Amino acid sequence: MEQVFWLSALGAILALDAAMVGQFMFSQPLVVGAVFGYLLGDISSGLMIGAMLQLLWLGVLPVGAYVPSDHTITGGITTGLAIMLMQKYGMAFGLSLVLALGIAIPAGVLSGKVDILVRHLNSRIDGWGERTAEKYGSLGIAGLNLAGLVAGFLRNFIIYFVWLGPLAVALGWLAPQVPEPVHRALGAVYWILPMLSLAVILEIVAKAKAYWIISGVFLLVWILLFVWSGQAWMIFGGVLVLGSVLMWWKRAW
Amino acid sequence: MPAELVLVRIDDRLIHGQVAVGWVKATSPDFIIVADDTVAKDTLQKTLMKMAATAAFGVKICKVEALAALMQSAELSGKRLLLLFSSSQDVVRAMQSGVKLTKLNVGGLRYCPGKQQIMKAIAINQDDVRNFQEINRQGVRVSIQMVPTDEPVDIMKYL
Amino acid sequence: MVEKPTQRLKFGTLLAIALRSFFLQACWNFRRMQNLGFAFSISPLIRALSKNREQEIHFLKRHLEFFNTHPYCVSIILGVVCQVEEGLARQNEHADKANRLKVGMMGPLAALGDTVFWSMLKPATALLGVGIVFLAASQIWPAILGPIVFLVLFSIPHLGLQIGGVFSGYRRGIDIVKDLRRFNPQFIARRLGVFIAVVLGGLLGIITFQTSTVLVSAQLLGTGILLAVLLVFFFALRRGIGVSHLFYGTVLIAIGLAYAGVF
Repeated sequence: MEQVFWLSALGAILALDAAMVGQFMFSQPLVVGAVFGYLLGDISSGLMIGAMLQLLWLGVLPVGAYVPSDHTITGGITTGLAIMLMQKYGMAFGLSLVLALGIAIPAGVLSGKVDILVRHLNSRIDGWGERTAEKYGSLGIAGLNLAGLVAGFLRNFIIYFVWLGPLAVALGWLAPQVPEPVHRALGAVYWILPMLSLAVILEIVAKAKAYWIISGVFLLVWILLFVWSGQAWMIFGGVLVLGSVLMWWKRAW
Repeated sequence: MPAELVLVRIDDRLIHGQVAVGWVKATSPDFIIVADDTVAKDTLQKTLMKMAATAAFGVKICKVEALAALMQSAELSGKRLLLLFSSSQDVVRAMQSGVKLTKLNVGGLRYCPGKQQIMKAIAINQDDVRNFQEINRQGVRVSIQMVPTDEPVDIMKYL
Repeated sequence: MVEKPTQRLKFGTLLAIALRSFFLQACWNFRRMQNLGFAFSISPLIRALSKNREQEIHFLKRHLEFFNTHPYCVSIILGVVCQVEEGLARQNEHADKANRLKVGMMGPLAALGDTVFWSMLKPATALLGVGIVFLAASQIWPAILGPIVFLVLFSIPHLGLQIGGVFSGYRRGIDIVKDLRRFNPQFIARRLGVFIAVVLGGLLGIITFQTSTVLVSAQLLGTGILLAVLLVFFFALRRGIGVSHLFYGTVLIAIGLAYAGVF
């Protein structure tokens, strides 16, 4: 339980980065996954889980007053749950990931809903703005901001703690009861997941010219790998160079 | 050919992220038209607004009274237009000067003292209530919807 | 044009404002959105310019008005406000010029920030980071580069704008709008779009090549299946179906197929 407490506290602080402080990208699954993996003693799984989840919700933009579900929390919870499942019950990587993700998505949705409540609460705090400024000056305003931060931290912490604590225990009890065909199905979904990630990015750049570039590079890479097997790193490097060059070629826009 | 109105929106921040990223993607307009007297008078604001234009859409800025004429102009004939107003009063004025609407989207009306907050980013006063009722009476469906992925909510429930 | 007065704000004051601007959304609320964060960020200026407590409070209250923009681009507005307020303070004027500028700039700068950072730079750098982790498979060493590359590449423009924006906004004042036009954010967005497309194509090739053999033994068939799945996801996303729904839908279909004995 102590470990869950500290993980939740750290996760809650990192999650503040999503909207409240800085947007340094510390809250992104790729980073949270690495940090949680490190703390749980399985950094390579953490990295992989973060990478699997990083792109999924990039199409949902936090524009203006619009509050989307907070899926940075989904990323942290999935990483924590999946690594616990693997370590405690020896479950396969892909299976743990998909199972954990399935349990963690509602946490992100809930987090978005609670976020709206917090922002309404903040409206209350804003109502005290003028009076606080008169009485305590800029120090008072700093205090109001701190109140908002504390509310945000508590929101994140409680969600993390519920999911990584009681729900993780329930999941640990439930997971071994899952019938074999479901195991196989969830394991297969793991291999499909990157396609969903890439579909999200495809939707972001959806444009006629982009389709041509994507198809062209795809075919080139696939054929190169086929005839020159196993040189994925070098080919990826080549792709990056090609991308950096094409960026400056006006006709590619 | 008359211009096609893909979205008519009240948003007192006019062009910002929700419009330039969210709604542009959902409605793919040829032009965003900002009908606002203050902006039309202010060179600085005009420059800023035009900065938001991309290759995909242009930005035009006009006074509310000039909107009807602009929409009839040859340049906009047959084009897809996204219309932005900053207040309900401006919509009423535009309709009086002959602009025809069927739907009106309310996306953002900021809070200030004397207004009542009816939804997350929408705060209205008595004048707004009267204006929306008037707009609704003329057969325009008025709904609150911040971004395309939100569910539209009929504003009449809150008046 | 009025002759520009000498600028007297200290480096430390401007830096403090820039650092405080990271907390812009700490108390984001539906009434006046980022107003409390803005007042917090601008406080060092208020302390530097006010001669007495009364003035300070009046100043602070003026900056509690409605405000909402992109959290990175706010730096430019803060810088411009510093310059304008300094001018007003010297002339002992209390016109609401600063607020008019804030209101005028916040919308367009939000559009700019959302386009460049959220809809282009974040996907581009994240895709790169994810690609590195995928390629490294389960080796920690190259894989750890994924998040590092992502953070570094994203942070350079972010921190550059958030810190530098305050200083150039202060130096150039409202003329910064002209600079922004020359800088042309739309071209950056389009360039990043091309970069994303190339990397996406490359990753798609590598991932389908490597995972196709996991599902079925024939590589070409496996790739075809993966691409078909990708297109189904893509068209579903375009029709507005959310990622979470797609995930759960895929799980259900997979369970159905497993019981039907397909795999």
